[in-house]
Amino acid sequence: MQAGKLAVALSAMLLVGVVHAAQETPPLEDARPPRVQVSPPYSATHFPDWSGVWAKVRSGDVPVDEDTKGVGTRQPSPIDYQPEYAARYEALQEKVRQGIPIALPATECLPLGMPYMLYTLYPMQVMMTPGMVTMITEYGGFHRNIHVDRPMPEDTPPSYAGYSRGHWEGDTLVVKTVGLRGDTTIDANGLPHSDALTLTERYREIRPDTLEVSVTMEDPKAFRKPYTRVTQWKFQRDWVINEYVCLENNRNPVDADGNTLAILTTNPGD
Amino acid sequence: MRKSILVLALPLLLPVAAPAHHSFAMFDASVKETISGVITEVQWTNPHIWIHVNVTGEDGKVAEWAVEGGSPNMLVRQGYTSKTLKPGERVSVTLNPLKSGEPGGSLISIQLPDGTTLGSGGGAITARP
Repeated sequence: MQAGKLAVALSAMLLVGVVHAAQETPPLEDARPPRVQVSPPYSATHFPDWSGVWAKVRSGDVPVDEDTKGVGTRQPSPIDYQPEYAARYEALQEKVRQGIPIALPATECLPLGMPYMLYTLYPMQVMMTPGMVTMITEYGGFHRNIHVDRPMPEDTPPSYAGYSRGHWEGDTLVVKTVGLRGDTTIDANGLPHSDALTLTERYREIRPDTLEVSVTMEDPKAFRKPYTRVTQWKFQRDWVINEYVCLENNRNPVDADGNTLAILTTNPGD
Repeated sequence: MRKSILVLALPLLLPVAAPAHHSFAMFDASVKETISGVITEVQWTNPHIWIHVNVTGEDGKVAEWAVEGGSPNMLVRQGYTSKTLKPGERVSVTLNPLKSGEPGGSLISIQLPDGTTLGSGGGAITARP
């Protein structure tokens, strides 16, 4: 009897809740239609519904969130470098071991660029449109376009995102990226590369809501052999990416020696 | 008492600092320090939030601490809103202090007046598996 009354009371509360909810704007998660199921093989005009926000997660022995403890925390290089670049990375790691707050281009609020933007913890919004896949990283709101079955631009001067051309192989989006700057890093550890870096990226939904991101990096100036990193992204139905303006209130400037500072006072004149 | 509870709760938190846009080597990651005081200012801004806390020492002198947290973008995914931290409220902040000895640190966790403890904004820990 007691349980029966409770059930009636709960049902009534639930009903009130439902009626109330129906009058309000539905929560974001409920307002979004489920992802459309599209069967491979895919093409520039018949493509999977990967649009939305993806979180980067750990994958195997390659943590994509290796930057959680700050820039320059991973010690060994996973890349077989040419001597000059091996020495450059070793010099950086020596500073890290000495506890020096090193700075990367990203520290000065420059874009992460490719491929670093694939590895920062900040989520990625993907937009799938005919002939184009657009990725917007929450970090800095920086975007890149992948032209699907369309020609590369004739001129590909060095840029942060580079120039990307994609095509579908069955269920996999294969992307060639060229025209990258030589002064960005591969990830938050400061792994260097040259302006000869090219990428072959492979994107595949290995199970529902899990995207495998495999990137083979070739850089004959800096690497002795190609390096491949495989990570995973998870679809987040109820996430949006938010504004991130690095210069809004950056209290970690870089000094003349290339070291990162922390400004304690809001008014430096105080 | 409050301090011991906080110590017990700490292992439950993920040991992550703010996601990198810069090195955190100006802070001493080997030292965990807890300060208690009153929030004087909250800068809910990118690339990192800053919380200023007035801490009264045993000698009665007040020192203003500046605590650097994660990005608002990460913090909202860990349960914060832009209004969670309020000037005038008394909080306990666990941090890695500056190596320089100046009153500043890198946020590890913060305990609010209602006992809620929130993290630093590091890690995509609320991602759906």
